[in-house]
Amino acid sequence: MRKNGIWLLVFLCIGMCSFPLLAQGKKENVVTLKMIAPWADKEFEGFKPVIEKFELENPGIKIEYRTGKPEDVATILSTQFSVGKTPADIIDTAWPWYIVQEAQKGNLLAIDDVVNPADFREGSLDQLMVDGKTYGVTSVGGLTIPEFNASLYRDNNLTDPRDVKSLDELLALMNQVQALPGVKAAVGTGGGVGWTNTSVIETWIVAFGGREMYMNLIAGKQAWNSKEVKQVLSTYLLPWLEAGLFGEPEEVSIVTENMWRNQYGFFVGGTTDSLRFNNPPGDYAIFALPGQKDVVMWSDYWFIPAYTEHPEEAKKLLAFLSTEGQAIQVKGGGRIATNLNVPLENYPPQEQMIMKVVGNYGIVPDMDDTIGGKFQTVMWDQLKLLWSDPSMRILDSVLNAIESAAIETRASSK
Amino acid sequence: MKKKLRVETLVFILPALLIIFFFMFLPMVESFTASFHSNTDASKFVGLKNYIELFKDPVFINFESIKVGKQPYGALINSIIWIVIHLPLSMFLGLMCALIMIRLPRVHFLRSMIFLGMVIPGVITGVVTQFLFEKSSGMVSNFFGMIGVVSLYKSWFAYADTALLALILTSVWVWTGYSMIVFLSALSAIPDSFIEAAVLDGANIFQVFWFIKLPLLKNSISTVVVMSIINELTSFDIVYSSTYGGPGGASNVLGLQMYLESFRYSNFGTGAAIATVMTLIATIPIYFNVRNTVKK
Repeated sequence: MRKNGIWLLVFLCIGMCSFPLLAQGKKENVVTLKMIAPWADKEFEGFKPVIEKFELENPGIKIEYRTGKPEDVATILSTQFSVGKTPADIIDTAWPWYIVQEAQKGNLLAIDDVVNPADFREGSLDQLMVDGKTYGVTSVGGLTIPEFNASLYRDNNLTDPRDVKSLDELLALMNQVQALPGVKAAVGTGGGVGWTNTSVIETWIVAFGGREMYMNLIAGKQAWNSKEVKQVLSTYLLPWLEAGLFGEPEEVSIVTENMWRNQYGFFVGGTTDSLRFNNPPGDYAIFALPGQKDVVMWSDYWFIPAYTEHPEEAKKLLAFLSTEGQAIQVKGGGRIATNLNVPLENYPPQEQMIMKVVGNYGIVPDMDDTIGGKFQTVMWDQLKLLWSDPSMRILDSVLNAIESAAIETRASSK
Repeated sequence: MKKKLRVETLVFILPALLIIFFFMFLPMVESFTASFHSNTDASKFVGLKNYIELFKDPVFINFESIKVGKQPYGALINSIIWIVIHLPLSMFLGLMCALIMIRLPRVHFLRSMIFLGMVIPGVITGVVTQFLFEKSSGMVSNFFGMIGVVSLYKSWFAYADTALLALILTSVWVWTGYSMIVFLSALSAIPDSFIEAAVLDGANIFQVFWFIKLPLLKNSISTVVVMSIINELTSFDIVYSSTYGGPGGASNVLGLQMYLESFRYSNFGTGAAIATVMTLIATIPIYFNVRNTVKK
């Protein structure tokens, strides 16, 4: 009896030891690609079909998805890259500057052989190039634009912001909104790290300073503390802040939900916010500021670390993500494709409306994402100060701080 | 016999020593060395340049703002303010809680509730407290609104004059539980006979505390002081997840600035210089604590 027990134990041990080997042998032909992107919850639901379709078309490749914000991923990558390792084979970031920075250090793989620049808006891949080679490709994105719930205006017999012709008219309308019962403030303010205030500044500069000023600020040809920039912000934005038309900061998801509950007249957010609302069709609306000719469009970017163990498979996935993947992902709503070949019919009705609006305007890139580095965090932080204590003195000091951060960032990226 | 004892002692402490050497001492030396090297070229020795630049940077210490007495004072001063307010407050509250808890029977649940702050990850605490200090739904700001203190009826994290204070108060809530537990265990260790003898001699409750309990709590106080200062200097998670140092650097602290310099701006030399400054500040209370311990 005892002898049998010992034999049973020996067989069990052999079985347990050989099981992983057998399992490994079975999996030998399957490559697992690790992917990091920021989408979770509803946003990830929209992305899941992309992974499923790719795996279906490529039975030899499995994808392991992990959620990671750009700032957290950048922290992990800095330590991993320094020892020649990577936590993922393909990574999404919101920062084109980051791709350039890491490509310059030799940490990324060039992907020219799998990306066709003609598929994208002219010049949109230029910001991802180092020494004539492309190291990243645009993913889906969205617009930075004032968004509102049309029912607030309809139910209170107020002019729809889309019909407003001048800034004075808009200001008068916002004063009316501010006076409505249940309204916290005319314009919602996002809390947290402060990037939402950047969206306001970008929109105000592109609307009242114009495309040239906006692009010159990105290129470093115009100083933040120059007379012209100061004039735009002190004339068109400061009075709004001083009059208290911008509300107390609330966490981004809360401020957008509160805007949707008609507690704010509008919120300068991203068109991806629409994913948060269970709205009756047509009430979610966007508008450009009076006289605005260009809108800010941001997008995410894919890149492949040079230390991936599966470069060919990762490139195959990247090629899929930047073409067919975008066409699938936009069906989930909230995002806009950067690939020009994605047909309008792929979008849900709400995003079709956004795409039609985009057609009437020029596109400029997201400013803080493009410049990045210290500039980005300083801009986020300093604008919070302007919002909490709006005055000419603070505006001066804020613009000076942003300009010196811009200079430092440009110097460090050279 | 003595030699054998020495060898045995060495064998027992060797694993701990090796871990301390490889995982604490070596990285510290590495970090200290990095603080004398260039941000752009880690092999280039730059002497004290990183330190000089650091003290010139208003984000680290803002002499102009200090002169006018208005935030942002810079990460160094904010960290010092943090210690100055947080340390006595958390210790006092922890001691009070411990003195009350030790007299109350069956209060394990209450003790656990007070200690709960220590168990919650800092990032979560940061997010939760954003709501506590928010104007529309925050308990703290609404309390001040209710009692008529209009200047504090606002979103504390959004304003330069209140952001740091909100963070410190949050941290006090978290750390009160820690000091309470340390003081509770120290108070439990005081023999009843000491207190009974004092009472028989006519000592009142305050005299018992002042002449009997407090001197016997000296070691615990020393431990709480050192641990609190280390925690206060390395505060990062709460700040990162609630204000990110803002607005305009008004709640920036050394821990966050070190992270930003090292991992956001890739200025490892500057980051290491900040780490060295933090270590130097922490060394002062640790030195006195160790000296007291060795004396005994």
